[in-house]
Amino acid sequence: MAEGEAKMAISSSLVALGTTIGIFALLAIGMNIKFGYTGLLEIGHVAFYLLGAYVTALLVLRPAGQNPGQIYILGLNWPWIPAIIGGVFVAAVIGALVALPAIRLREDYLAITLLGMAFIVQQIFRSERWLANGPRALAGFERPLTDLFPLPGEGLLSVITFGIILFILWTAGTYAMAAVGDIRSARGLRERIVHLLLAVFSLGIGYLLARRARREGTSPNPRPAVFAGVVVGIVGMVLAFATPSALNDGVALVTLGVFSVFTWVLGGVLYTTYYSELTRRDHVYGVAASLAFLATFLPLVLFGKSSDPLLSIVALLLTGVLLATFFYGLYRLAGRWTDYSDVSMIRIIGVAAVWLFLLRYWIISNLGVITQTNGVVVALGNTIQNLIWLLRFDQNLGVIFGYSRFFFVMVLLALAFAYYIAETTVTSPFGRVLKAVREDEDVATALGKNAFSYKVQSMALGSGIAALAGGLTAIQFQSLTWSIFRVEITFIVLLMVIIGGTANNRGAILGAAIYWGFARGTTDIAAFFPSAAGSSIIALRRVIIGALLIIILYYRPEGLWGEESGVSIE
Amino acid sequence: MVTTGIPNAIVTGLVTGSIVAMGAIGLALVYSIAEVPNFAHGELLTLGAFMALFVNKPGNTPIFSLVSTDVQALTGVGLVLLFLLGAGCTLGIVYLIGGVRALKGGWWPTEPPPLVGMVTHLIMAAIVGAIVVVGYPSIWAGLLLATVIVGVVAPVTERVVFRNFREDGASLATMLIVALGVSLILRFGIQAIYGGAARNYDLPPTQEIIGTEQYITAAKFFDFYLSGNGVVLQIIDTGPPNNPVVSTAAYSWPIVAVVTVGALVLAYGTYRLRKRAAGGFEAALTLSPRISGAIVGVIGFGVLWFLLGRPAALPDSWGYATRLRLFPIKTLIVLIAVLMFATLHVLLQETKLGTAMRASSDNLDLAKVTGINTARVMMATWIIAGLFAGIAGVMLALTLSRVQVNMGFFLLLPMFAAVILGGIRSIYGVIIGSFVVGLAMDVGFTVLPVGNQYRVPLAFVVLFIVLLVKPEGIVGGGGS
Repeated sequence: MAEGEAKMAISSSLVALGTTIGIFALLAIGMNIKFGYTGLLEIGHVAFYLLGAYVTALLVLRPAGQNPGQIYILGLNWPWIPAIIGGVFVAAVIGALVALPAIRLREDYLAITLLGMAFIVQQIFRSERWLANGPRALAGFERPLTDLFPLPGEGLLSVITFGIILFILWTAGTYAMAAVGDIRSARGLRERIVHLLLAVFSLGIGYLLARRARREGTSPNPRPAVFAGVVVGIVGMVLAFATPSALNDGVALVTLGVFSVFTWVLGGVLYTTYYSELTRRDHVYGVAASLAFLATFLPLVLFGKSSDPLLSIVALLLTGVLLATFFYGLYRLAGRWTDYSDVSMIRIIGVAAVWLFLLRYWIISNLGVITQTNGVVVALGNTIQNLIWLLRFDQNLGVIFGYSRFFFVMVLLALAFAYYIAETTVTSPFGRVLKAVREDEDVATALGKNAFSYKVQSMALGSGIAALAGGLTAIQFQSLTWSIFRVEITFIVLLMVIIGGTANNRGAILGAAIYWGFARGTTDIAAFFPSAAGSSIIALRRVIIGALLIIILYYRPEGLWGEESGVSIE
Repeated sequence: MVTTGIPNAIVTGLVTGSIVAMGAIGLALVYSIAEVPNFAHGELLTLGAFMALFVNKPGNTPIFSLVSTDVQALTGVGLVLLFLLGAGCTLGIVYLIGGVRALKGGWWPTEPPPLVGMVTHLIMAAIVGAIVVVGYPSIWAGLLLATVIVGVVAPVTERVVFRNFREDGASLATMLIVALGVSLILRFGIQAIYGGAARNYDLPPTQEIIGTEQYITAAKFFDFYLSGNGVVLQIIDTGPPNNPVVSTAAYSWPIVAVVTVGALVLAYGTYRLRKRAAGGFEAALTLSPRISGAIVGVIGFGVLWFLLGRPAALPDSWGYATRLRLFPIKTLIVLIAVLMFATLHVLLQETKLGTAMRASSDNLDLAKVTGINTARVMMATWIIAGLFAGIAGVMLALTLSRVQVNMGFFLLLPMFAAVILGGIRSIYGVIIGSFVVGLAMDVGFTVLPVGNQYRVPLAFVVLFIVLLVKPEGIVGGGGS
């Protein structure tokens, strides 16, 4: 919310945040397989992230001779998807190779060995000029399909891509709607309204087919969802192709804009389903908590950057005191929480977190606009932009589906793919052996399972998923430096897995969301600090992460959504 | 043209090895007795280095900048603060050993009257504080302050964090992650308070030693010229302008042989004498025959070398020439390290606490059964680890000539390599492992055509090779 961001709609920063969360969620899922399910403390995880990114980039780049100022190996000018597959393959193979000698070691020796290996890999890419232009940035590769954007655009390829995007989004949305909401029938006024909203904002097709999907069994059938996606995709393509380019805005608005609103409605349905056992009072508690939390920052926001240094320090201290009181109050409440509600306090905090996000996204982002330009109309326009987050409202180009949103969808697709693979792996017999190996290797061996080979395979799989994240990062940044892949990243990913819940893939995604939400929150707040303290805030964030790690490991080692039998404490 | 070569790298490796050893000893002690793979140990070194800045450059440090008028000028209030800090931490260390009872002398071998114990401790604390204040702004006073501060912080991390997890029966992997959390807190706490810029110590270029002015920060070159006639040693001092030659001495080959053989004879003779005197009970001696033999041999070598040199001029031609760059500061670092090793050796071998520590390291429960106060042993271990880490941190900063937030982490991996190499349970193995790691880092990077970034990876390569062959480490006994 700094001055310079006034022009960038908050929907764009939400998309950027979502992209980062998606990439780190991939890393977290990979780590979860190694640590959560197999019990390997793999703090060298970032090495495979690095390998995936660099191998992908090196495969995509043109030969070094054609790229002035850069020296590197390979440079085979491959298209992106084979390059990413290549990166994943290399990382998986190296993961297995590293595991071969290292797995014999005791768990703490293994951790240190893997950490050392990650450090060595990073130093190699940093020091060897001939390998990947180290220590300078490796650049010069272009993102895939950039010339087709923004969508919908001219040309057949553009239109086809647009259609494919529509297909993906609508299939996913329809399937989600069928899976999340019980839409067999609508009883009561409130449910009817929700169903109406869903019907309208999925253009009727999605709603009807989701109902059919639901009807056919307890778990939703994907076929009608796919059918819905195909229908909308083809209709969208035809519309984009047939109508003149001046009406492209309208096409995008009708298809993607409506879908954006649909996601909000779906979110609401998700919220009520997940928190269905909460009474209204519990919801109020949650909202009150988030409001109180925001209120503690008022002194800082109002007076932090004032020109009078005494005033800013007083404001800072006041905020600190209020924050401490808030957390102390939470701590005292936690002891006596059962007097107030039947639901565990963690869930109420979850409610508060959701409302915090909503307040930040919808209301706080508009506050700045209203106070500065005194324009309620501008605020209204802003709100509509926030609503239709999938599209960017550009002054020159109109309503467009920009590359950053496309990339976000790609990341989500990769995440869904990795999640699917991880889930099927861990729920399969293979996964059960992994958990047995984690709990007691001797028992697994006694039952005839080769624990060694299972560990090696798990290393390969987890490393491959991390490499997928690396390939996406190469696309995201369009240039790679060794300093992106610091050793601290593994610690952050480990924190994500532990917070979200070890041995739970959804927990890994949740952990990534929590971490980056927290990071974004502190960046927002840091903008209000007197400028001298700016860099200290970033350092303070890491201190809080360290403290959080310890606290969570002590009080709730299975994380938020983890298995009840914790991995760590035996 | 004489240039530095492998022998110089060996000397540098010994310096690095000493510093790694100082840290690795603390790490190994905590690892084996408290069962904590302390990832935060590197940050304890960083903390030590930064704490010395309170004395050396108080004007640049957070709280003390309020009480100083210039970078190195403290007001009276500042001096009082320094005194309180030094004395307070010393008292804190005693308190951590066993609470108020310990302050009254409860931890002494004999049971003194409470007042005597209290007063003695107060006097000790006052002496520490006084040394810090009188020595300010010298870096050596800073070293003392850093030592006592980290000596308090390390046991506090145990009390506040690690003990809770150990009592819950946490696995080693959990402890490692917890230690990771502590390291994040320490490192970024320091960064939040001090900022990320690198600093360095303010060392005077000359200091009075034995009445003469010595340039302590400048190198002294020891040039060895090997030719057909023998060895010529020329010592050049780069401190004073014009780089004067301090001495040139020639040793013909027969004399070199005499010196070498003489030293060996002295060493072996001492060894046999001590062995005969011990009469089969060598293990009860503080200085084992081997160590006494080695010490006498080294001293004898030095003395003979000094006595038998003839002044001469540089030879016209030589077969091999090499230069050793010896910094008085770095030599002092090695000496301090050796002194600390010796102190630790005496502590472990001769004192009751040392025996209790060795017993607890072997088997904590059995030690408890024999009546050893394992809680006190645990605290003493952390205190020793903290003291050593504080000293190591300041020495690391002296060697690198800068004080930076990530220097502790930079040394953490070699320290772990040294501990695993040497085997957790054997302090002597750890010391040997540290020197192996230090030598690998410096000699390896000189010999192999790789850049400076590869020093730490080299330490790891050595570790990997050893672990491939022997997963329990060189001296072994660390595996389950």
